[in-house]
Amino acid sequence: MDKNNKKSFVPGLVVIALGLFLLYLSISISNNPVQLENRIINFITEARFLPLMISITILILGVIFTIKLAKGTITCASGMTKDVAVREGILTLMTVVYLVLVTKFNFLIPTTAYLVGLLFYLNWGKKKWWVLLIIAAIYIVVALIITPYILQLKIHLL
Amino acid sequence: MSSIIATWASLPGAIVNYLGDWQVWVFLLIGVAVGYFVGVMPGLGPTMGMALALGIVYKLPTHVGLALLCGMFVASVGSGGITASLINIPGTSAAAATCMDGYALAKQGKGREACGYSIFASVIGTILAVIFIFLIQPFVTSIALKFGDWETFLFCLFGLLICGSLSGDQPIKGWISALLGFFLAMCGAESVQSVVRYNLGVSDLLGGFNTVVAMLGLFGIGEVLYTLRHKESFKTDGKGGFPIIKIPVFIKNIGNVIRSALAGIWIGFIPGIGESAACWFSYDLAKRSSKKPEKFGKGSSEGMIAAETANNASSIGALIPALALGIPGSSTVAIFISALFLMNYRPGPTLVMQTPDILSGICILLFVAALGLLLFGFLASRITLKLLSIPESVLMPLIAVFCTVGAYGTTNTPFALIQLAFFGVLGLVLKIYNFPIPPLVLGLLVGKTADTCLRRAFLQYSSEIGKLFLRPFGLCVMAALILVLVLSIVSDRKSKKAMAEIKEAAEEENQ
Repeated sequence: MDKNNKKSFVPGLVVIALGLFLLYLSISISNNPVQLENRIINFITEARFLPLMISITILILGVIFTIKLAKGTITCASGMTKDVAVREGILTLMTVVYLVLVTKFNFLIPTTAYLVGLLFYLNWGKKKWWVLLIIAAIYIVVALIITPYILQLKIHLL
Repeated sequence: MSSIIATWASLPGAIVNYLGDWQVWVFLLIGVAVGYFVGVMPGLGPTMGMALALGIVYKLPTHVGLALLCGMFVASVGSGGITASLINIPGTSAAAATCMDGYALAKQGKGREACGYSIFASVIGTILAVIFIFLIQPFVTSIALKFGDWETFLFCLFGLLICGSLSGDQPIKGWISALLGFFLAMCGAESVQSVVRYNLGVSDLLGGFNTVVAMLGLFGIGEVLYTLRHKESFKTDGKGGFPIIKIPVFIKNIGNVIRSALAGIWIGFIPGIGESAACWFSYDLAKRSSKKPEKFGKGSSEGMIAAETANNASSIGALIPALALGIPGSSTVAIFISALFLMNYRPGPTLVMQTPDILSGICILLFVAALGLLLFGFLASRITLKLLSIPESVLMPLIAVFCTVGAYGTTNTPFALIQLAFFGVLGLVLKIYNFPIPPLVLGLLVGKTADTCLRRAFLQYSSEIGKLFLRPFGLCVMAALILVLVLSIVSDRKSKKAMAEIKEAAEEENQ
């Protein structure tokens, strides 16, 4: 098996791992407080019944998916080059950090930092720095002041 | 029968209620303008546009919120064909078939004509579908009212099954996606015996995931991150100008228009297939019944009219199961019904019966939005090329911030932002590995209903379980669902085959 074939079924293994995790979560669900006499009906009406069925199905689909990937009958490649993957990673990290920071420091400072950072990162060398700052300022005013004011959204700026 | 007549009879009152309010007009036009913008911009699209609107509709009066949504809904699906014609990039997936003839016309110097066909066919498709659902919906609802818990569960299951099996050429990915959505939907305290399910000790998750935030994450943040992965934006060239609408061509194509609208409505009615399949299916139907099939792909007005009429009719047709059963036919409609929930409506069998004017109201708003699209599309097409020249790298950061503000505004809790991050990353990963997102959304929306209905049905029939499976209505539903499943798989295969054949022919032609 060459390196590419080895890599090709990794998404399948991820689905299997996901299925196992969901199965663990389903099994951990507690019993219904009120139990029925008929065991089969009781099992079906338990809160864990559908989650259990779903996680088992995902697990089975994960196995089939892995086999198909290994055989090459279906593909699941991201098709991303290293450059694109790095760029995607940076953008995702910036966005996640931004969202977490908003929960701690409210909207104004994290949003300003995020917009300035993102606009500079995406447009560096394509647009002048002061143009990007003006765009960021306009976006902040539109998204954090004008829109919430018009729609009476309660957001905490500071 | 009286309830059906009552629904139709509510039309005059609804016209006065909805159209007598100036705010409705203002927000409808805003919806059309924003919808036009998101429709023509590749990478935005109707689903993202409407997901963004979710963050604000609940703050508006109900009529006004509905007007905004309907305006966006119609204009965003209808305007995708303009981009397809002018720069050969479909603004929405529903406009993919339009590229074939629209761009060919544009290359012949008939770009304004192509835009005219696109806009007018979209408007006609929408209007025909609106009239159809206004007439048919009360009947569908009266059937849906006979649904018990068991039948509702079966319909939810059918939606998931078909949604997975028809999404793309790798159904296994669709099913995994749908089941994942189903699983996520059941997080939190369930409603039958209040058992808490896998909230991981987070008290904010006791009520489950917020579907609005989930959609903002999946279609907003996820799409923003995915779109920005490439450094280069698309290039625009071509000439702008007012569209030329050739009414005699449409009169000549009246059969084509009606056939395409009906095909679109049928495909829209089946959960999970979507507008993109509708346009290929109708395009193929038009080609087969055309006297000049050789012109298809080379700038055929028939092809353009068929594709654009069908994709718009399909998006409206998807409202039929959504309003009658609360099961969305497409991802755009999934957002539409989420908005209805936010506005304290309960899409399902009782919706139309309890609030008869809601159907009339939605139909009126969609109808006026279609006319608004005609007007706006005509006036704004001159600036469309300028809009298309806005780089994604400048536009997308604003979309990300809007998603954040919208998500926070929906719940007013910081935890919404953690959910937004989770669903954003999930949406991105699914997109990168080509897992379809609409099945996940469908699972997310119907998962809880399916779980509750299944368990309630078994509890109700716990002493005589055979009777549950032999419920005459349940058996009819099962038979009907199996029939629809078979028919829709056949329709889907036909549309995929047609798409492959058409693309192959076009490639051969180019060589």
